[in-house]
Amino acid sequence: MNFSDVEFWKQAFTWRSSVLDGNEPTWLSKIRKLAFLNFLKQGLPHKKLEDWKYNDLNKLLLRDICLTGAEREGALSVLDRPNYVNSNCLVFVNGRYCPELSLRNEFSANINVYSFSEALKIIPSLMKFLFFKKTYQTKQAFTSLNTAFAREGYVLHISREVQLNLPIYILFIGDHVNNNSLMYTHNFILLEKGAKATVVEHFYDDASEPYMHSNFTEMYLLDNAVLTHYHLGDASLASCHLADWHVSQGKNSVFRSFSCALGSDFSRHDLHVQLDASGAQCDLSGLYHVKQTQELDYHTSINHVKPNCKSHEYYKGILNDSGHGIFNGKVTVYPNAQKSQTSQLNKNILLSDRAEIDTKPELKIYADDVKCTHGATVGQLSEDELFYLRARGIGEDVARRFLLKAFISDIVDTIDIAAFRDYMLNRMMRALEV
Amino acid sequence: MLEIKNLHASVQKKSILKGVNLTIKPGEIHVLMGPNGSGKTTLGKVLAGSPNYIVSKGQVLFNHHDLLMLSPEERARRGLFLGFQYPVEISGVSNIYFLKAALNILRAQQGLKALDALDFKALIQKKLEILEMDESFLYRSINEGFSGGEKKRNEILQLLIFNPTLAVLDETDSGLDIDSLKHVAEGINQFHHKDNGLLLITHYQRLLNYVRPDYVHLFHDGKIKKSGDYRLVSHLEKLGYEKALTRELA
Ligand SMILES: Nc1ncnc2c1ncn2[C@@H]1O[C@H](COP(=O)(O)OP(=O)(O)O)[C@@H](O)[C@H]1O
Ligand SMILES: [Mg+2]
Repeated sequence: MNFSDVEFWKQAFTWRSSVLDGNEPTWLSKIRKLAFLNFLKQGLPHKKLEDWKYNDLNKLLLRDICLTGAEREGALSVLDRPNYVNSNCLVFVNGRYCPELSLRNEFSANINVYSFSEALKIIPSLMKFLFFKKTYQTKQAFTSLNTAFAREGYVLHISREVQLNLPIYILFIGDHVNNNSLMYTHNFILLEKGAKATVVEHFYDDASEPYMHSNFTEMYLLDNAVLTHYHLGDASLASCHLADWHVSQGKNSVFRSFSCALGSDFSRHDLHVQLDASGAQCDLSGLYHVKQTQELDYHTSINHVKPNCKSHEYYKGILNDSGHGIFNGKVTVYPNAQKSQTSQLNKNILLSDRAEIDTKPELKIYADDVKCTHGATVGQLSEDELFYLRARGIGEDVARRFLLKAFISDIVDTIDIAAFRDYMLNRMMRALEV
Repeated sequence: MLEIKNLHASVQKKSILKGVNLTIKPGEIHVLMGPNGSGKTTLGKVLAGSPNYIVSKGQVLFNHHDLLMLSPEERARRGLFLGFQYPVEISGVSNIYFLKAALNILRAQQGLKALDALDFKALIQKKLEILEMDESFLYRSINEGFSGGEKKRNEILQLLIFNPTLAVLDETDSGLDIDSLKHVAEGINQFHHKDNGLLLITHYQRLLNYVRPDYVHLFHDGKIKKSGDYRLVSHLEKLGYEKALTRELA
């Protein structure tokens, strides 16, 4: 069986329903059904879809899957938490929540941090409210599948005007992952008016065999809320990583996103931001690196629905060997979204003549009073800079790394959790070494 | 310490160096003068090992080793320094990080232990004073947004920190106002002693008011046309390259 087999998905869904329907609220079973029907209607991605035309779909769809559960005997071996994590940490192993590995502070009643399954028990009406925001109507097949199947994830709900100063760390760990297994996590972040939080999502594993993780995070920022969201995709090269982020923003809210993608044989990141009320702004940035035959995709889409919103995107990539990168930045400015400001920049360095990048801005501007800039560059390391460093005694490999580190430094410097920044940079430099 | 014998080199199939012969002994200061485009910078780059140039003929011995066999970094580690005519801007790497990393590589080569941040600061402080460079230059990206004169001073700062045995300074005196020129000259004099060698590539006599050369060479069309002592400089200055060369060739 592989991903491209719709019959397989039907059977899997029927099996899922027979096991779970009694154990979950009926409204959730209903949502799952709607999501699954939506998946059937959309079908699996294919080359003719604009959104998937640069992807090597065989890499994604011809993966085998088995549904026997994600972990093998002898699990729980890579569970040292990374050194930057000092508090507020939720750990998911093979897609399942592990309370014993998590570090949970006692929060006041204004701050709710739960796993998905806990949230269904403790705050069911909020969960229902969140699920009925209709993201199951998405056009992305894998997002629909995620909603149909996901049973775990994290839920963060922060009350009005409450500011959470310490970051919440979410670790998604693959440990002794079963060959070809499939895991889903579905998360929600809801910041009420004026609330503030920082969340880090970090994916890693000890896997040597293929598996897939589909992660879907829905984020809602009400008026004046401020959310900073970090992502580090650092799973092994055998894995497949699908990351979906949907953000919807209220008046004068601020969303900052930083994503770093290093791992996975195939990874696709879909970041969708709805600037739904005036004065909202989003600041999206990322760093990626591919080598060997990795394929990596950042698809961002920003909708300027209301006037006076700002969006800013800055992504940088380093592509080596036969690695393939895709950056697609879609921005839509609605007719009445006057005084919108949007900028986009994507810079790439190719380290090999077999490496490839498809970078494409996709701007749809239907308002006339709009400030808009975009740009993309693809280049190589400067021979002059390399020679200058070497002429000072710095070896060629070290000099290359110097320059690559310099290339990413302006984005690295924007990460304001120092320990996480250092950890990420270290991982990135390690990936560049081998 | 340096012996260049019949050196020929080309760039992009264009032949530039056409038989350079030059010997520099410890303690000597040599000056290379010549018109634009004659190949002076090419000589410096070839000595430093730039991959842009192809050596087609000739030999270079540096402390009795075959220099041309070595990678650029290996040449630097063995004590060769090139002060660039156009120092490269490298954004995103702070000057101090670069200087310290490079110095520690050179020290490791000499079997010395690495300097920590404090020791390094102490070492560099004195050199900054000689050059009247503000400390803030250390924390900016390498040469990024530096004025022409600041870039040249940054080259001399490196000369003082790395303390090579042979330095080739390519037009380090060009584009400097009189104060900067004095600081650069002061740096060069601080650097020079009886055991190291200097090859100064320059257009002007100005620098030579502060630094007294042992030999002056007139470079033209890819080779040395005439050599003499410092008096050759005033001769050149009076006649200009063209006349001096015509006389020479006649
Ligand atoms: N990278 C290069 N590509 C093409 N031509 C070059 C390159 N470097 C130098 N040249 C040419 O070589 C000749 C000598 O240049 P250069 O060594 O810079 O002279 P100088 O320093 O004496 O002014 C010039 O004609 C110059 O245009
Ligand atoms: Mg020159």
